[in-house]
Amino acid sequence: MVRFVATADWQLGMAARYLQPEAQARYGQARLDAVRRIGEVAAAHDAAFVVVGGDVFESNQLDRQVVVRAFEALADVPVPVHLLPGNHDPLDAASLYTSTLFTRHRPDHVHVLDTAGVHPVHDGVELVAAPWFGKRPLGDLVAQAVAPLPPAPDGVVRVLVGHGQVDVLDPDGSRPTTVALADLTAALDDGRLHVAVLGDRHSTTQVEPRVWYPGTPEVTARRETDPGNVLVVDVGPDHLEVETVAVGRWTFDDPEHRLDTADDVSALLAELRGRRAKERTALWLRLSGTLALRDKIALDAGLDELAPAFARLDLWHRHLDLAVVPDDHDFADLALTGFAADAVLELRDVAASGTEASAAAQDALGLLHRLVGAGR
Amino acid sequence: MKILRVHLTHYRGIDDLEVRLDPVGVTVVQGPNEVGKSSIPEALGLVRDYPDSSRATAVRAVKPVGLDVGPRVEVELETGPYRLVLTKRFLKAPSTELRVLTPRPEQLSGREAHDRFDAILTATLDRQLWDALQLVQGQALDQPALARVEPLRTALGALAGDDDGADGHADLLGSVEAELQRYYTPRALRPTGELEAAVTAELAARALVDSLAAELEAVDVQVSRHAGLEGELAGVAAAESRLEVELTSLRGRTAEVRRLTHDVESAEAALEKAHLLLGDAERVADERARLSAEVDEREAALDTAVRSSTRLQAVVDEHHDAVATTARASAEADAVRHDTELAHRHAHGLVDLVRCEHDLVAARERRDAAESAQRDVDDARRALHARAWADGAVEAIEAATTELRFAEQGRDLAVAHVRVEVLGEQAVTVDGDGVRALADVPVTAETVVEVPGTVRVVVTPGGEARDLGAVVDERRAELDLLLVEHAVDDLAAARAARDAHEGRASALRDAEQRLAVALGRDRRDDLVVACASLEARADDLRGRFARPDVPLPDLAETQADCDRLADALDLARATARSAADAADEAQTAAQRRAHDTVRLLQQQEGARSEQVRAQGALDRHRGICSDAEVAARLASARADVDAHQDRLAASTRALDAHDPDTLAMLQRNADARAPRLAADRREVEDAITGLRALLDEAADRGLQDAHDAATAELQHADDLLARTRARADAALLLHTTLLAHRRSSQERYVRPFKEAIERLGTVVFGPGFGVEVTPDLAIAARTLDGRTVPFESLSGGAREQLSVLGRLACAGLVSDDGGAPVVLDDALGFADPTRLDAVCAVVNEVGRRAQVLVLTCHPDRFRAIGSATVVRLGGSPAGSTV
Repeated sequence: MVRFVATADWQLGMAARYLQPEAQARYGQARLDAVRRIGEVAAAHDAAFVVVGGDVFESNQLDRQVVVRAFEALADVPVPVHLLPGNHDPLDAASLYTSTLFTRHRPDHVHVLDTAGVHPVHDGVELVAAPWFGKRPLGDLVAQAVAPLPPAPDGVVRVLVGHGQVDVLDPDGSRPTTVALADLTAALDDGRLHVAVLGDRHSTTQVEPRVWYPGTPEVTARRETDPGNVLVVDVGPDHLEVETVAVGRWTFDDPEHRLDTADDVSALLAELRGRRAKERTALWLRLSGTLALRDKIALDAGLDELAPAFARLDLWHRHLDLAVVPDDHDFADLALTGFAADAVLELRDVAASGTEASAAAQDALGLLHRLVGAGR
Repeated sequence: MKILRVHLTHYRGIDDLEVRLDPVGVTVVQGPNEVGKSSIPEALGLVRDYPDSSRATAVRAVKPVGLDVGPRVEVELETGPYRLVLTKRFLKAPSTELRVLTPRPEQLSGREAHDRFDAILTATLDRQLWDALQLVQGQALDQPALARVEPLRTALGALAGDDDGADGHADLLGSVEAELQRYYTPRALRPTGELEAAVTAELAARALVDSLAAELEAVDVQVSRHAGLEGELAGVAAAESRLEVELTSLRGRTAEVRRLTHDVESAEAALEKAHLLLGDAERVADERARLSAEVDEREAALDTAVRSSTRLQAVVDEHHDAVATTARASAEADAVRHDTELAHRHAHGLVDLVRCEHDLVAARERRDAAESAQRDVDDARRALHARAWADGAVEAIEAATTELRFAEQGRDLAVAHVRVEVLGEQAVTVDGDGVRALADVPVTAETVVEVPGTVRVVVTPGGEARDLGAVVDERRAELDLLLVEHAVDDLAAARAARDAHEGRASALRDAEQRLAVALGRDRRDDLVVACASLEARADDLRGRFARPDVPLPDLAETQADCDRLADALDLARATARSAADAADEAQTAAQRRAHDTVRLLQQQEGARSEQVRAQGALDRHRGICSDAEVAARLASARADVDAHQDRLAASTRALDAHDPDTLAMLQRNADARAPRLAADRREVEDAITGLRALLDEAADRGLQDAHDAATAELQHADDLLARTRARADAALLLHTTLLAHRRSSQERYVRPFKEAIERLGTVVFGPGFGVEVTPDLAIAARTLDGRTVPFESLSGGAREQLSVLGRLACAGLVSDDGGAPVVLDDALGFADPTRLDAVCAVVNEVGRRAQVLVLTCHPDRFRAIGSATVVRLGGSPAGSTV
C-alpha cells in the first residue's frame, strides 16, 4: 500500500493572453503557487511522492528562467516528485529536461521519467512511465509501455503514468496517440498495473475506477469543467482509494444571464460587484434577452466600471444574443426633431431588425444618446 | 433688424455723414463716387464685429486721412423688441456707448456696451442672414451663402410643413462629425486617429505573432530534423557494424578464391602442354594420312584421264564424218540458190520494162495535154488584153443615163410647152424644124414657131426654164463623155461590150484550169524531162530483158512470174544459209573435240607424273615411322589431354562456386563503403552539432514566452480594434444617417425657396423662367424657355440678376420674423434697361415687406423703383448730412 499525490498539466510558463496584462503576471505566479500547495497537500496527506502526468511546462521554448522558478516552488515540496514529459514538453532535442540549466539545478528529489517502462521509485512501488519523445508520436505510447510488462511482482504496486486522451473521451479518435482504454484496463485486470494516472485532460476526470485524470491544479481555460484539483491516491495490490483535493485559486467562467429589464441589468451588476476574489476571476458573460437602449448603456457603463477589478470581464460575443431595441423613452428627453428624429427612427428600425447591421445601429444610437445627452 | 439711421464722423474721407432710412421699403442712396455710400454697410459691420479697442486691419482701414481723430460710427437700429443707438469710436480715444430705447431703457458704455449690443444682436438677428443679404461692391456675381441661414431655414421649414429647420441640430452634427473625425479623415474617410492607431497596432501585433510562430515552427522543424538525424546516425553506426562483419567474411572468401584460382591456372598450363604434344602427334598422323590419300587420289586421277582420252577419240572420229556430210549439203543448196537468183533477176527486169513502158505512155499524154492547155491560155490572154473593159463602166453609164432622164423629166414638168398643131397646109417650123401634125416642145430656150412667111412666134422661157435646160445639157454632156471614154454609143452597147469581155475572161479561166490539171504539181519542163528519162530507161530495159521480135507480155502475168520466183529465191537462200550453218557448226565441233583430245592427253601425262611423286613421298615418310607407331603415339597424347581437361574442369567448378566476379565486386563495394560511412557519420554528426547549437540558441531566446506575450498583445490589439472599429462604425453610421436625412429634409426646404425665386424671376425673365436650387440653397441652373444653362455658364448680367433675386427672395421669406435689410451696393451694373426696370419692380415689391437699401452712383439705374425713398448725397465727398 502506498499513498501518493497525482497531478498533471501544470503548464508552467503558460501565458493567459485573454487576461488583463496586469493579471497575466499574477496568473503565471499562481501556477507556481499551486505547485507549493501540492507540496502542502502531500505533506498533509503523508504522501510518499508526487507524480506529474505530463505537460509540466507549457513548452520547451520557454524562457529558461521558468525552470529556476519551478525548482524554487518544487523545493518546497517535501516528497520526491516524478515528472513525465508530455506533448507540450516532450523529450526531444529542444527539451527543457535535457537543458544544462535543468540538469544542473534539478533538486535531488525531483526526477524525470525519461525512459519508457518501469521506474522503481519507492519500496514496493514501480512507476510505469510513457513519456513523450516528440510532439507527434506515431502510436499509443501508453500501450507501448504496458505491452511488454510482466505481471507485477508480489507485493509491488504499479502505477502507470501517461499522457494523452483515452479513446472513450476523445472525440477525434483518429489521432495515433489516443490511449486505448481497453489495453489499459486489460493490464489493470491482469495485474500488470494497479492504477493509471494520465495527463492532458485539464478537468479532473475518472475514466473508470482505476484510470484517472487529475486535471490541472490551476484553471487554464473557461471550457474546463472541473479544474484546480489534485488526487490523493491510496493504492495497493488489492486496494484503491482516490480523493480529490482542490488546490486552485483562480476562476474562469462563462455564466449565462438573461437581461430584459433595467432590473435585470441592475441585478447582474450587483452580482458581479458582489463576487469575491475578482482579481483572480475571469468572466465571459453569455448574455441574452432584449434591452432598451438606455438599459444597454447602463449595462455597458456598469461593466466598464467593474472590468478593471476582474482579471477579465467581458462579453462572450460569440454567445451574445442580446438585442437592443430603442424605445420612445430612450430619446424622449433629447428633444430631437426634424431630420435628427427621422434618423433616430431609421436607426431604431435597423437596430431592431436582427440583421448584421443591428449592432452598428445600436452603437450608433448609443453614440447619439451620449452626444445629445452630454450636450444637456 | 431695421437700420434707422447711420451717422459717420471722421470715417475714411468722410467728415460727417448722416443717413436716415425707412424701416420698411426701399431707400435709394445715390451720390457720386467716394461720397461715402459703401461706407454705410461697412460701418455697420465694424460696429457689429469689432470692439472699440480693436486694431484690426479692417478698423485701421477706415482711419480718416490727415486727421488725428478716431473714426466714429453711430447707428440707430430696431432689432427684435429692441430699439437702440450704438456709438463707437475706434483707434483714437476709443469709446462705445449703447442706448437701448425700448423695450426698457438702458445706457451702457465701454466693453459692457459692446457685449450687450452683441448679445442683443445674437438674440434677435442671424448674422449669417445679415451677411447674406448684403450685396457689396465687387461681389455682384456671387450668390449669397444661404445654407446656414437659420431664419431662412426656419421659414422654409414652416413652408415645407416642418416645424424644424432642415439644417437644425448644427451642434449635434458638429458633435457627430467631431466623433467621426476621431476615427476617419473628413472627406476620404480613411482611418485616422484612434482607428488608425488600433489598426496599425493590430497589424504590428499580428506580424510579430506570425513571425514568432514561424520561428517556433522552425524550431519544431529543427527538432524533427534533429530526431531524424539521430535516427540516421544510429543507422550509420548499424551499417558500420554490418560492414565490419561483411568485410571479415569477404576476406576469407577472397583467400579461398585466390587458392582455387592458382589451381585452375596450374591445370590450364598442364592441359596446354598436353595439347602441344597431341598437336605434334596429330600433325604426324595427319601427314601420313594425307600422303596415303594423295597416292590414292593420284592413281584414281591417272585412271580417269586414260579412260577419258579413249572416249574422246571416238567422238572426234564421229565429228569428222559429220563435217564432210554437212559440207556437201551446203554446196548443193548454194547452187540451187544461185540458179533461182538468176531467174528472179530476169523476171524482175521484165516487170520493170513493162511498167516503164506504161509510165512512158502516161507521161507523154500529160506532156501533150499541158502543152495544148498552155496554148489555149496564151490565146485567151491575148484576146482578153486586146479588148479591155473597165469594171464599173456599165454602172457609171447607167447612172449617168438615169441622171439625164431625171433632169429631162424635171425640166419637162417645170417649163412651159409649146403645143403646135398644124391645121392647114402651111408649113410650120419650130426652131427651124418642120412640124408635120403636132409638136409639143418644152420651152427651155428661146423657141421660134414660124409659119414661114406668115407668122413667127418667138417663145422666150423664164429664168427657171433656162436653168433646168442647162441641167439637162450638163447631164447629157456627162453621159456623152462616159460613152466616148468607153467607146460605146449608148448604154446597150456598153452592156454588150461588158458581156463580151466577161466571155473572154471565162475562156481564160477554163484554159488555166486545164493547164493546172495537166501539170498537177509538176512544171511543164519536168514533164518533158520525165518523158525523156522514161524513154531512155525503156530502151535500156528492153535491150537487157526483151527481144525485138517478141512482144512484151502482160504486166500482171510478168509480175506474177516475178513474185513466184522471189518466193523460190527466199526459200533457196534460207536452205543454203541453213546448210552452211550446219557445216560450220560441224566444223567447229570437230575442231573443239580435237582440242579436247590434245588437252586430255596432256592431263593424262600430268596425272601420271603426280602419282609417281606422291608414291615417292609416302614411301619416304613411312621410312621414318611406321603406320602403327604413328597411331600409338596419337592415342597416348589424346589420353593425356583428356586427363588434364578433367582436372581443369574440376578446378574451374570449384572456383566458379565462389563466384569470384561477384566476390570482387562485393569486396570493392565494401572497401568503398567504409570511407563513405565514415563521411556520413561525420556529416550527420556535424549536422546534429549545428542543429543543437540552433536549438540551444532558440531555447535561450524563450521563443514561447515571446510568442505568448505577442499573442496576448495581439489579443488586446484585436479587442481594442474591435471596440474602436465598433465605435467608428457607429459614428460613421450615425453621421451617414443624419446627413442622409438632413439632405432629404433640405430637399423639402428647397421647393419654397425655389418657388420664391421663380415668382420674382418671372417678372424679370418672363413666363418661361425656372431655376434649379441645390440643397445648400444655391442656384445651380436657370431655365428659360425650355433651355437650361448652369449658373456658372450664364452671362455676367444674368448671374448678377439671379444673385439679387436670391437675396430678395430670402429677404421676402424671412421679413416677417427676424429679417435683415437687403443692401445692394452698386448692383445691377450688367443689366440691360428692360431687365433693370423689371428688377426695380421686384425690389419695389420686396420693399413692401422688407427694408431694402440701394447704394448707387447712377441715379437713373434705380429710378424705376416706384416706392423708393431717395437719399441724395451731396456733390462734396465729405461733410454731408441728410
